[in-house]
Amino acid sequence: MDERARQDFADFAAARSGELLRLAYVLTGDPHAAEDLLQSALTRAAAHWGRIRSAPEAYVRRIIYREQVSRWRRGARQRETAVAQVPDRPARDLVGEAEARLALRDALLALPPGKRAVLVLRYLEDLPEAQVASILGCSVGTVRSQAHKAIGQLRSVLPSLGLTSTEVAQ
Amino acid sequence: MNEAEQLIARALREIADEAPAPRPMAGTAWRAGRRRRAARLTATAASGAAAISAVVLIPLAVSPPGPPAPGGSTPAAGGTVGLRSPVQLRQVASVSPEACPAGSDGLPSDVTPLPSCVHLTGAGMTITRVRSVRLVVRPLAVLLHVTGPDARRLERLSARLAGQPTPRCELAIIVNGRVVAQPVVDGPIPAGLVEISGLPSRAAAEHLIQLLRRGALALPAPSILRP
Repeated sequence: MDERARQDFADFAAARSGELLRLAYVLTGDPHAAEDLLQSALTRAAAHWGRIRSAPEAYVRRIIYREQVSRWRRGARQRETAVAQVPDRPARDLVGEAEARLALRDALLALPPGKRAVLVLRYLEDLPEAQVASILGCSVGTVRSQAHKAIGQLRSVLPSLGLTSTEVAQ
Repeated sequence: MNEAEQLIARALREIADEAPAPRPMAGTAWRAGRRRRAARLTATAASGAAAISAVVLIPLAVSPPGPPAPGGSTPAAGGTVGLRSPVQLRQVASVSPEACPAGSDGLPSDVTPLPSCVHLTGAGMTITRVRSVRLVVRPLAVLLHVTGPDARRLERLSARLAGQPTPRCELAIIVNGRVVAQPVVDGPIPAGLVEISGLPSRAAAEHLIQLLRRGALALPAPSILRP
């Protein structure tokens, strides 16, 4: 029985690691931190495989999100902000759509992990606020305020983005 | 999604596309995960100072009765001990990886780090009186030595669960409406001990003992239980 479970787990990890690593990477902005995060999530999944094997991906994704946010809260991964790894691009230097996109990318990577997780869930995963709150283990109000602040931070770097906080808080 | 939101989504996708190719990590994760599980799981074992048998994944998780375990354990007062919060042992029917919805017949679990809801079958037993309650310091656990009739019921229950597919081979240990441990039963338990391990701290173990003996009131644990 344990051997079959191990094989199921190996099959799941082989099939889904690529997608899960993408998620971990977009949350951490660092390839090593992303692998570390995924490994930690898979380890937890293995520990509880018997009860999650029918729907493991949702469990692993929730672990990834929560682990990333809690690591940041603990202050153990301050490098996650990755500000030092991206070029500083003042808004006044923006010319053209391509540069604006690069600046947006850098601004996203500079967001604190909690805010970035909210944006990833809302816009990359396209989930409603209630589900975002459920995954992150917080209230809908917290999701809204985090999104509001995240957008405010993006807009301060990129006025040309033209975002308003209400667009995000919808 | 409006234009600005699409810009954000596209930028996030571009970041995700830069992710490195995954390396095989299933084997390492599996081994680490099973070690973690073994450390967390509750063990149940034979009575007496004889060899430990039956249950659970890793024998190291089982502490025999008799002499104090390494690190020290403290027996409760002699005779039997009435539990103010009865301990239920119930066969697991299924587990949902989410908090129990309102009106659910499932019970919340403290076994997993994320919310989960444990559904139970009708098979089980309730322990209201034990021979002793012990705090085992290393490895951290709360050890219940059950009375003779309960030991026989435990033997029948464990024999019934052994060999069933997961999660029906798992025994939920329930205190105050929460699943505090969920060991796998892989053989009949002739008699005796219920060990609740995987507790996060000594304070948590002491709190559990206090809960068992005094009910839900936050009274200080009796000094006899303090090693």
